Amino acid sequence: MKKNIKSITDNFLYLFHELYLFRRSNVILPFLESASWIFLSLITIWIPKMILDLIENGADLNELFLRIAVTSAVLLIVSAIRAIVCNGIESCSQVFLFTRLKAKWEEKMMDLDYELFTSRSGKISAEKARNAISSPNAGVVTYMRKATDLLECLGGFLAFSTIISMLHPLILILLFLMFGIELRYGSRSEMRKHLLQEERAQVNRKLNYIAYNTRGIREGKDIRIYSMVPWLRGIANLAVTDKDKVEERAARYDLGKMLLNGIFIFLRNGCAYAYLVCQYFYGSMTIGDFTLYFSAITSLGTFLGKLSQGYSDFMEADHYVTDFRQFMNLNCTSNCFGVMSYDKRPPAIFPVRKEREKMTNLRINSDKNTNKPGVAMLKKPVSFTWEKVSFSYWQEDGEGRKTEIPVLKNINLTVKAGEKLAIVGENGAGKTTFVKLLCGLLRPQEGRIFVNDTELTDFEQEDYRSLFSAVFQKSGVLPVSIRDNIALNIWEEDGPAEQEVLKAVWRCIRLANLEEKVRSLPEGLDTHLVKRIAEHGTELSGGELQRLLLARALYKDAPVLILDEPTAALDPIAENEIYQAYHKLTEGKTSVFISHRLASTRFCDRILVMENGEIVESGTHDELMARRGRYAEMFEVQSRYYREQEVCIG
Amino acid sequence: MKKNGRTVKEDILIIMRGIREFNKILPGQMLFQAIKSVIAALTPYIAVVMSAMILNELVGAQNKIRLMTCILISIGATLLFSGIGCFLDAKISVGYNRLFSTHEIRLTDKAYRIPFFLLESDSMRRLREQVSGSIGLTGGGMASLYWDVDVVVKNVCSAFAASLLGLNFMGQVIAGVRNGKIGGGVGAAILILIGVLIAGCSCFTCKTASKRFDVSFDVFEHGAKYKRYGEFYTLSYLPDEDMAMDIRIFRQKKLILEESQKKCYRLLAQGKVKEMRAAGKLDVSKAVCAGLCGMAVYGVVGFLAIRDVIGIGNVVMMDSAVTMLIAAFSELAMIFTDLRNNNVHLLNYFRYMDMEEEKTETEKEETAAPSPRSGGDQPCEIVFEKVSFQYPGSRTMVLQDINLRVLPGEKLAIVGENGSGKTTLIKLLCRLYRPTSGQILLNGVDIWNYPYEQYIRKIATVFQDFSLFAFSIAENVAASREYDGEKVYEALCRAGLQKKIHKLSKGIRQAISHDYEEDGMDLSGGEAQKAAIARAIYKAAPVVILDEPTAALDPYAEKEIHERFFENLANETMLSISHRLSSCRLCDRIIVLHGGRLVQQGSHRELLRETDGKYARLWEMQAQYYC
Repeated sequence: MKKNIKSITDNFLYLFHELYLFRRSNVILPFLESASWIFLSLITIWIPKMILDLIENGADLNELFLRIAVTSAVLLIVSAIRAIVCNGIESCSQVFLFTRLKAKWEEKMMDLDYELFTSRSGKISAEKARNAISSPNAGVVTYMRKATDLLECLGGFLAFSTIISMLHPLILILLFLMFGIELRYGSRSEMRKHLLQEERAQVNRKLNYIAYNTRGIREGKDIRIYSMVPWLRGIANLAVTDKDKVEERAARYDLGKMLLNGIFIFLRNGCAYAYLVCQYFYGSMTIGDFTLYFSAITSLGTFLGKLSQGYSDFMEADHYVTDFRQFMNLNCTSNCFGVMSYDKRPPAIFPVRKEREKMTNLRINSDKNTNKPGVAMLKKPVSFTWEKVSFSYWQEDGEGRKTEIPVLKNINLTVKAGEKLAIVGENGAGKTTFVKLLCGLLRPQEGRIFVNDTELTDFEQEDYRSLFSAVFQKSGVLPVSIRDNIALNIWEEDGPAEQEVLKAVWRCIRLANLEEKVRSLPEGLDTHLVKRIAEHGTELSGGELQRLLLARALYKDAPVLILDEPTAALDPIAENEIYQAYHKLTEGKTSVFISHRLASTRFCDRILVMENGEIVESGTHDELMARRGRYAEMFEVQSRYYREQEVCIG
Repeated sequence: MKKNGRTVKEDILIIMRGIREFNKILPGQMLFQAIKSVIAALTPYIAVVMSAMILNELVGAQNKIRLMTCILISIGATLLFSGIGCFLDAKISVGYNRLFSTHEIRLTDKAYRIPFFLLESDSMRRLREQVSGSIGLTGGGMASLYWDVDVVVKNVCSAFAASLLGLNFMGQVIAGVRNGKIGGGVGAAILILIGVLIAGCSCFTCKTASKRFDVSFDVFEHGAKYKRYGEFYTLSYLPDEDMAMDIRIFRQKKLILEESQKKCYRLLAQGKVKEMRAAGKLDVSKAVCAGLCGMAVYGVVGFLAIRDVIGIGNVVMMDSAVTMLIAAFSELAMIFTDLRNNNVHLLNYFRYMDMEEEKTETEKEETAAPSPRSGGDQPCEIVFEKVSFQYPGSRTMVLQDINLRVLPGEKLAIVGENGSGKTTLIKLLCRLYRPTSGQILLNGVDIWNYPYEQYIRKIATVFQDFSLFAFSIAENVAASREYDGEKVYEALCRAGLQKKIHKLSKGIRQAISHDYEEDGMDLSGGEAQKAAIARAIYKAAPVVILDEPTAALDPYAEKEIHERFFENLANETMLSISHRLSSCRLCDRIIVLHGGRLVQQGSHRELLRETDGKYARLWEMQAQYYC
């Protein structure tokens, strides 16, 4: 309970603080709104009493009209104000959701440590947080509204309790008793409903999968060729039935609560009538009082009902805030490599500073940017060294058991500055993980990585990553112009001038052999990509896409260039062009080339053969061929068909 | 009275059809909702009427039994109504909670059945986005129909009940005039005043409401477009592990934040502000209206009570009756505008649902289909006769005058540069597109003359961008819920996944990826490709089409797969596309496409002899590195 209260206050403070930062004046709206609402409910039950009393006392017409006019006017003004405030709250919540919360979530998604991002817990947390802000009608966005409602109920409850306690304190106690039972029962059913939440999320995920992951063009082809409709429909029906089962259970929990509420209304109104009728017969109240008190008792009942509902609604919104806040608080300190998520070690800021001093001493005309290890290295090719690096994934199953799956084992490696490295190996040998470790997306669990003799942990993450540029196996493009897809850095504050950007973009497009295509587009560099999102957008073919990704990687102009299967979708001619230009592309850079086509490795200074997470061979093409090991075997398999032909022609 | 270019009658017809369609999404829900609305509308009248009787009894005869009866009826009826309401609510909440997903699944289901060229067209996608956006963003379309039916039924009932009370009120006023308690002129004035109030308030709210709904209508007209951007980032780009690498290495953060705000959220927020401003105007005018009405009605009722035309107990009742009548009429007027605006969304929905569908077999034949071998073992001959093709709406010819005969059981390789029309040729053969001119014959019959199911049973394709679904691997291979476990296992082994399957705790029943089942397994690119190949093997179709089946595979796997295909598919006719020319050598014949034309054909050796030909050039490019 104590923890609960702390979490509620924390959430409240978190959200209202965010709101305060967003729009100061709006923080008072909830208070204004509840005050006006309480006033309105009081005046509405008071007006009939006033009129009835006046009539009963045979008041004069003018007085009656005057009183009605005045009270109605007050009612009118307050309710108009309330309407404005209400809309203010709604409008503020929506704008807050769209321009602030969504942006915060997106930013966090992009800042999150990659390993945590890909972990099961990270994904669940991200998904929960997304769910909390996905709808404009539910989730965090309703927090302000629900807080207001709760405040209203509390205020109304106080006001009406006061009125009723004037009638008889015992009635108040009776009402509280009923409320207590209702609340207890209600919170129990809320709790059971909350336990359903996981299940509900699961069935929703399934429904969403069927709805959104089977409607695309890509899926459409296979669905048609393999007549998958009955299959998919069958699965959809099962998922819908599951969904209904969960919802039926939730509805059952609610049903009990609502029935109880109905019975209590019955009892309450019955008692109220009985008591008030008696009082009236004993002559201690006027007919106006009778109506007033009866309305007050029913109103208090409604308020109490609303209070428990308001409380559970508020708690629901509060849970969403918790989900959101938890995601926002995920490893907030991991700007440095020294800090693992959830790790107790202090951030490795000091070594960085030491390094910084060293760097400034070394460089005479260093500007303010070059005093960090990463930035200083940007201009020249770098070397890197791996010492006994190991890495394993932790696979979690449904019950949370973890199994370790070693991917890289004890890798020792030194790559000289400017060296052209090739990595070959079967699928699943650990090449992609190697790349992820290399560019700092993952951290080794054992061993150390040095770049130019500076250890990985001494870098700031951003600086380390700026050393690498890459064409990954499954990169994608954004629904923005070709120019923006290539020159992503134009959004940085002290980025280069537009003219220079354009020049550089064209140079990279030329290098990647995409110039012809871009020139053929009516809008040229301003053509938007991803047709399904951007209106009037263009779709690039597989080969063109790969060339664009290459251009993007070249544009970044980082000291290390990683190419992971950059020619898989290219035809032989295009592939050959890339190979021919390889030296030019990687000029003055350290490069890592990963490919299944062993021909490509010929251009590299050194070839590493990976197998089951280990480097089993290393050397130039000729050396490896001479060794007659794994590489020679693989080369044999691939080149057999080509060579036989040579013999034939010869 | 035309609105959005439609007459009232047309609008009503659309709504009627909408209700029928809604019943297909959530059968029976509309009825539950309507009954619930009737009950919800009548409940407050119990209290109003009975409390008036109780008050009258108190100030009048004070008959205790009658008083008791009134009280019991009042609370008893309320209890009964709320009890029924509770059960209905439980039913409704189940349907309500899956309205959105069922709606979306229905849209997706339609996407399964439309012809492929429609699936690929932008206009279809935009339309679907609009339909799904209107319900997702603001609860428009079908959802709106659902809420609005509630409001309509509720207010019609409420207006009916209030009118009964109103008639009673009128009767009392007339009786008052007859008794001489008030003058005839005054009585008439009162009735006219009440009538004017009702009419005036309805008209006024109708007008302001119309403005308010027009604004929100405008907002969600464009909402779908904005939503597309937002969802692209939140649902597909940002959560994707591969894209996450791009984001981090290329520092895309600022660009993405700026883009999603500029193209989606800021616009949505502006729309909301606009909408809320209009809503604010409406709410304020409603408050003013209600205030003025309240003032007038209380004045009238109070006056009548003082003149003893109505009993003191009836003061509150009469006031409530008149106020509720006004409220009901205003609500109805308001909802009418909303419903008419909403029809645009319904029309979009109908337009989407009315799209033509591919003609599939009758039910009878479909049930006969499942046995995978029934496709027939006899090899098929395929003939392209002067086939040309251009994509709908495009002027460039993708394929021009292709003449080609593929003999039964022949293994044909298709090569050519990117963009030479290879994949399009495959799409035509898969009946995803219809040739612009010319025809494709299978065993001498135009493929479009076959019944769809019968034709599709004859071909198995592994597309370059194949897709597997996050269900069990066995179901994926069989593409069906029912499968022959042994045959599935055999197909998987033949595709080279034997080792992987043995490692799985659930074997072939393990799901692929974690998207659907939490305990699913991840497949690497190569493994996924093998699973897709297993699917083609399982189908055991006489024509097998492979579009770059080995692009993601390492040399061993590539070799293995190639040899397996040739081993397993001795009788089948096979067409394969590959950029790795080494794989073409095993084929009986190679055709070379360039710029949409068939420029060369022959065996590997024949083609190499044409030393200045396209094929020789392509070959040279690749082979040079291996010698």
